[in-house]
Amino acid sequence: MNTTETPVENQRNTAWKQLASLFGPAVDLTPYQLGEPQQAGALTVVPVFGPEHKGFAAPGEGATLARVYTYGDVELRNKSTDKIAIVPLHMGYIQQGAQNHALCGSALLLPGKVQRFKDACCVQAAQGGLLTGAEQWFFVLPVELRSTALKLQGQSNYAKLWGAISKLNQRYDLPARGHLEQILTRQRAYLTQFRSRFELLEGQIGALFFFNTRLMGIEIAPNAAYFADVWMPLVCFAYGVGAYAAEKRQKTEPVAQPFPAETLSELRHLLNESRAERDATVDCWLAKAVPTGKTIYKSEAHLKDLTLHTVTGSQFAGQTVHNGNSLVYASLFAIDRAIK
Amino acid sequence: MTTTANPDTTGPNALSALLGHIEQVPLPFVLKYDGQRPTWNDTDRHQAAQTDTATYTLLGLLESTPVGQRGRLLFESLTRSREGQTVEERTRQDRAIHALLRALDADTVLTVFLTLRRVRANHKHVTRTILAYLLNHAEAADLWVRRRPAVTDVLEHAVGKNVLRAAVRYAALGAEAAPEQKTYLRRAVLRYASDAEWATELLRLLAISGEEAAKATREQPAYQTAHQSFAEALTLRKERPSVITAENRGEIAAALTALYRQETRAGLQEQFRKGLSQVAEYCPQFAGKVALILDASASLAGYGDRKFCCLAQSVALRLVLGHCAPNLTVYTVGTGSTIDEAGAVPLPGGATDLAMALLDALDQHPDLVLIVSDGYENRCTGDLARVLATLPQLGIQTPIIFCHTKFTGQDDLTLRQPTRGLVPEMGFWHEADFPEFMLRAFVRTGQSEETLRSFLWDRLNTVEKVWKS
Repeated sequence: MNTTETPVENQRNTAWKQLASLFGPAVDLTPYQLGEPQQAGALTVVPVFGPEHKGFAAPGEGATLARVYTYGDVELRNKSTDKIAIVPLHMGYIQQGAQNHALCGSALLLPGKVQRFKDACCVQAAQGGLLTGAEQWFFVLPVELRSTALKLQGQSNYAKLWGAISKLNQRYDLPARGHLEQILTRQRAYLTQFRSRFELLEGQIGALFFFNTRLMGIEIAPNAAYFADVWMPLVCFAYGVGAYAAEKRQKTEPVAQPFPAETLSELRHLLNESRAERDATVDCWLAKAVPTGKTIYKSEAHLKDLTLHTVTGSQFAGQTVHNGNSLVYASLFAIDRAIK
Repeated sequence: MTTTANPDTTGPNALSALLGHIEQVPLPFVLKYDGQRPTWNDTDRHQAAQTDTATYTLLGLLESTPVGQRGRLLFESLTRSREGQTVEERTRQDRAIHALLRALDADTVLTVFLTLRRVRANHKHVTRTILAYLLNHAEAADLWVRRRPAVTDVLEHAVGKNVLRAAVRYAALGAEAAPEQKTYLRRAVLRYASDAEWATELLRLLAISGEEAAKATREQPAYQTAHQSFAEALTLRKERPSVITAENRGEIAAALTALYRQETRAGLQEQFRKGLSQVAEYCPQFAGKVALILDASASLAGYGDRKFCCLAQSVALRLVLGHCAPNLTVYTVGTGSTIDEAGAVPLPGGATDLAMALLDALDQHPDLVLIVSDGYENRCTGDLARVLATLPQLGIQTPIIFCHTKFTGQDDLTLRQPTRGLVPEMGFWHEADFPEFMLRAFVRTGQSEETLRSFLWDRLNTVEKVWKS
């Protein structure tokens, strides 16, 4: 990342710091800096750079599926011998021929330990078979389902998300069934392209996700390796699904408008100006996203110096992990497009 | 290899324009049963490109020329009268036709011959070509039996119905034929055969019933595949795997992928050097200034089984291009860090800003700009298209080509077209694509016709050597 800040970047970071109240009462976002926006179709991603918190395992190692007791009852294992695992919020597992599951909340796991989640949701209504822990890939629930899933934390009913999934399918003109794989696997070839349409940058530990002009999610990881592991599930599934739907609605590609330039140097100048304007527009989107109203922080779990909170506000919800006043992990999402 | 949005030109660059056109017309060469002369809506393009008919015919030797268009090239070059041509020109033309006949499947060739009959092309070179082809085909007996009506029709067209009937009757007589009958047979038909005895046997097949002749043939048709060994010599592609992996996308890319993945394998350097020299030898040379915008952004790293594969193929192109176009300048998009000291093998990283790199390249007034990318533009999406849309008003006519680096030839490019059709697009996934890829790129510059002629005749010389061996 370029460490020399331009005025535009200053403006962006000022707006960013105003979002601090979302993460907790005394959280300082100063160590976190926003990079240059990237845009593809309806989705805009602003990379986040910040402190590297050592001692946290990436989900691929720290949040592996160890066992499925029965529908809606799964056990995760932290395979790392020396690192703590933070289970990504709304992580899910897909396997051919077995009931796919997703978790309603995040969790903290000590090295080598397992944790049972009796409040997991099945995300494939009419599919028998249990996940065996092999040949799976993981995803994060689409943003439209996350608010509902978060509210269902602690409820032991494996079918509890089927209604919301069915409505989500309807929203995307798919058969109204509690089958999330209608979106995730049938559109996988399209959705996985979001991984290539956006570049994960060196040292990136988080990202802000916008659908068109709306801030839809803020994801902060403990370190770059962790974020690299959750990058694909986030960009392709958590936010890619909504972006895919928006792109499908937009039938025609806009015609490329020429710049009013007469020389190459003028063209270069106008290109830079246009980019600055576009970046400033993204900053405006960010400034508009500063939440109003009360935000409630509920402590869910403690592990050593770490605390897992559930955040509930008027515009955003999600979970965060803090070490004292220092932010370690955050997964916050907009709730206005949520399936009720 | 794929190409779109080629400019429509006739005149001095008609041959180059036709090169771009024929690739986009993948229709088979067919002859309708309606008895009418065939018509095409691109006849003027073909006619404009026939100032040198021999070179025009050689377009059929390019791998990317669809089979239907190869048939069309053969048809057009045989239809054309040779009146006024020098002996040297006729010899060149015969060479080119002969090469195309060897590389084409027999069914297409028969359709071309039947079309010549339909349009009543009665030139001597048509007669000679038809007879030489049918009498000397490697699987002639199989061809004559399985395609008997067609073979009879084109033979009747070549020598005349009565002459053919007489020749068949005299051939059936065998040793009992009178000397004057044998002489007639030789003058009318057998003089075009390399083996007169075998040719007489072939004619006898027409004397017996079709059912009886069919008993002598094998179960599987052999004539349909007789051309394959010749056709294979036209390409560097030695394998056509059903599953594409990092190892079967060409020698150079395989070695570079292994380098990126930090795999240690014996013979990697040798594999790399051998592949590079072999491919570079096949590629056309270009003396002009080439600007290569090489996308090495983070997305080029790929993932899973495809990790580093597309970037490795882009770098392979860059290295081969360095041999063929010495006046090459590379503008790398990405972080700028490289694996090697020479800086030729970039590490993937950073965002994709193609528009600014294009402006940097145009500042140096190149003859040709190649933008090699996976097509995922994300740092200010749409900027490349806006810059391209502005260039005409600046009076910049430099040929710019967007080149897709792909994992397979069938990659879905729906979300990977940042130029929005404003400039031609081409693609490659294997090093065997490079020679014709470069040819198509180079012919877009002012030096097009000479580059194309030189490449085609070099190609003919090379394949003739291979066929002889």
